[in-house]
Amino acid sequence: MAMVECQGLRKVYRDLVAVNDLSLSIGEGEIFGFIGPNGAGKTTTIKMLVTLLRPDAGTALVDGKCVIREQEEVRKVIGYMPDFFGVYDDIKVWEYLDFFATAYRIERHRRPQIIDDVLALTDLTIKKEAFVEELSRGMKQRLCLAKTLVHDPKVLFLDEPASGLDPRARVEIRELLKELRNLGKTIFISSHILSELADFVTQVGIIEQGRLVVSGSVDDITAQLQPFKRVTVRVAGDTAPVVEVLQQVPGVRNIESEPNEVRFEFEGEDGGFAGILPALVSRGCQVTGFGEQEASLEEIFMRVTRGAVA
Amino acid sequence: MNAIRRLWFELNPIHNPLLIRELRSRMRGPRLFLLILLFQGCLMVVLAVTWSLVYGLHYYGRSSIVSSRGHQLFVSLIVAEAMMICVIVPALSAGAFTLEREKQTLEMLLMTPLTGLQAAWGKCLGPFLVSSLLLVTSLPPAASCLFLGGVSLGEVCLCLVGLALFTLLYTAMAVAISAQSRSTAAAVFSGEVLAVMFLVAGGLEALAPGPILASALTPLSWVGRVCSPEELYAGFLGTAVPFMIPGAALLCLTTAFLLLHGPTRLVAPRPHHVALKRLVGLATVAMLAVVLVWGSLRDLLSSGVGASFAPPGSIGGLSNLGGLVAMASMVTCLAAALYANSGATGHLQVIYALGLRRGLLEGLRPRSAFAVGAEACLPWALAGWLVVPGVVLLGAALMGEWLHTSDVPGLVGLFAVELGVLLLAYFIGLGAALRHPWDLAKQRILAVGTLVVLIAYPAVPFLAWGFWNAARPSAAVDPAVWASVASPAGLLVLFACAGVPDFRSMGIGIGGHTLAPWMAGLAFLLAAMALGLRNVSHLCRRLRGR
Ligand SMILES: Nc1ncnc2c1ncn2[C@@H]1O[C@H](COP(=O)(O)OP(=O)(O)O)[C@@H](O)[C@H]1O
Ligand SMILES: [Mg+2]
Repeated sequence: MAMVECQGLRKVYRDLVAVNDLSLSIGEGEIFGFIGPNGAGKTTTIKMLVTLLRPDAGTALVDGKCVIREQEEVRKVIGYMPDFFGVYDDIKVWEYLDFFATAYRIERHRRPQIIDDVLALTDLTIKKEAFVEELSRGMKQRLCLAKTLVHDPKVLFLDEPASGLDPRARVEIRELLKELRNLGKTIFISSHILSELADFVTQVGIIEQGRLVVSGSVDDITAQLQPFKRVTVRVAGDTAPVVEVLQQVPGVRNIESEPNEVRFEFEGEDGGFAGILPALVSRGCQVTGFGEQEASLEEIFMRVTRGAVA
Repeated sequence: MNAIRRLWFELNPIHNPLLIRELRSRMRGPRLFLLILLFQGCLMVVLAVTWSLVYGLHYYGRSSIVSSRGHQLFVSLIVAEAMMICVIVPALSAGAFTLEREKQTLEMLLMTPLTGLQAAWGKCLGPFLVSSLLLVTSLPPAASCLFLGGVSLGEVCLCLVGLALFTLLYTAMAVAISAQSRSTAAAVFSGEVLAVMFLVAGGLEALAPGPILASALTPLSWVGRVCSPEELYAGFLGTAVPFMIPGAALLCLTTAFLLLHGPTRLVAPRPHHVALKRLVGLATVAMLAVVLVWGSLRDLLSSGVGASFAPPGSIGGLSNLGGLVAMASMVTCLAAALYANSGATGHLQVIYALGLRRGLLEGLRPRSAFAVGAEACLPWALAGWLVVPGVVLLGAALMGEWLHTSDVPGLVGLFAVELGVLLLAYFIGLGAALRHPWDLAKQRILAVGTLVVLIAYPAVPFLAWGFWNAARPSAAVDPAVWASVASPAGLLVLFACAGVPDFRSMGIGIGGHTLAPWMAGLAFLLAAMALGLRNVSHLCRRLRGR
């Protein structure tokens, strides 16, 4: 069963269509990376899914419950971490977590254990007695994640959890997310930086100007968006003969030549591709390297978004 | 049964995260202790000043108006406390939800299963407990009054209970405002204005010679009722306590209604809250009616405060009915003007949406635009005028005439000025709507703000002047009468006073100055029309120019 499912979601601010006809389906246990430039409509989409904003059109179900009609049920199964948030003054870390635990109606005798657990998970145990406003930004981010976990939600909605953090804090957040994945949570995570997510998401959706441009599993998207291969040939000596050979192979295009290196794109059967290297060698080119460049999510992102900023 | 259990859960402070957090953070650091220190300091100053005054009065042998030193000290203590509570409570509690919004913590709070009632109650209890602490710290000085004599333990307790109830009401009011406001500054401002209005209403009521409407409506009148001199109230327990019970019930019901209704914009209410809110709303209205009708009747029929002001020879307290109703009419008119003014702007919004703006842009003549606008708001103005103050006033005039107490020309004048105020309200609303066609909030702030400034600005100092003069029977009041003509609010008061024999006997009211207020009223009406026309045509031109 899909954990998060939405159909034709739409939100309009005055004359700006922030989210336009967005449909998604995320299975249980998936990590969904929601990627798009600033102002693309990520936050708006997430707020609609977590019941904070009412969609102008469309439906959305979280764990089979409607975000418009069954708000309370939805709120029970989700944890939401906003992109911008503040903390309360003059309270300690454990008191902050106790506040949310009480608000989520967790019985009094269970609270201390739960607080210790989420503190251990987010690596904040040593800060238990510290005042919240004295934490560093990365710690605040982890604390917010900890409070999102006190009621053991099935689905987590994290809006740019790593934005504004230094590389080290980023890595820590990422490790934490991997642990959450191992706990079997479904995670919906947004970011405007793709490399942040690339190595652990199972599904991605790319949004631009309110439209979901592509979505699906990482491999599918790669295959779908890049049916051709990008190849780099390294040679010792002159590149001219290599270019000459390549020009005669059907399916080869966009040949670029630099000293000691030739790059080209190939579209066609694998059989044809296999013939290229022998052809080069048989013409006496001194090939020192021949390899296909892996298409990264980054590139797909650059390809599907046209650089228009909403 | 289930609903009751749920309600108990929501109201139980032990389960309320907001209260726990508030207490934890508020008790840290020196702020609370500084607040207590400040509060105590102010009380000490008030007590010292009162003490020296009371001592002076005794010394010069003019103590006939003072029942005793202890009583006098206690009354000033409690009044000072009431005033400070009025100022402190909104400042403490109006940030309830706006601060969460400003510190970007509101969304995370709303995501929890906290209900609206629970949120409002938690937000209310924190500041309430702090203010109650202030009241408790004022017990020692109150006890010292007890030893000086002149007050009973019952009076002290009842006053403190009353203040606590008002504190709760003010807190609920500020929290409800906070849930509806955008910024803390706005919420604190509105909370303070409302609280001070309550206080001032108490003061006015003390000045107004008519029967006291309901002592439970403002803290000052509560205190006045509890601590009234013995010659007015035969026995404290016999008269004060039975009156306090419906009053206290009214305060509790209003608080409950505010708690249930306040946060509905932030958190969708649960079904059992909706049912409860209706019930509480109905009970509040019923209790208000009981307090008003029964309270007024009691005052009228017993030889209450009203009688003490009535000129000799009139029929008990009834002589002031005309004046009372005229005053009520004036207040209703101002309220109706403010309310309908924002209603009119909302109305215009619709017209705008229907294409008035396009019409203007395509060359609709300003005069026809004005006609469209007037069509939208004049029915409101007339209905507001006729139904609300008009009918009340007509009743007052007839009743007053029957009782030989009212001044019919004065009441007619009041009627006319009220129409003027309402028209002015609509023209200002129209202007505001044209200026900010798409922003209802801005329209309302502009319209209501302009109206308040226009009708009240000169009234405040002049009214003070007038009352000050009136307090000295020998003084001439003419300057005050002439001065109050300068503002619509002053005019309203002037005409309303015409129905009050005591004021007439003091020389306030149109008595010997029939022409002046009338001319001023006419000028005011014309000015309102001219302002409206100018405002509208100017804005039409500006819109078209764009
Ligand atoms: N409350 C609002 N009122 C008007 N426009 C808004 C509001 N919130 C967001 N927007 C607009 O909607 C678009 C999408 O915003 P958002 O969802 O925050 O983008 P993202 O999170 O992808 O950076 C932006 O162009 C933004 O300016
Ligand atoms: Mg965002």
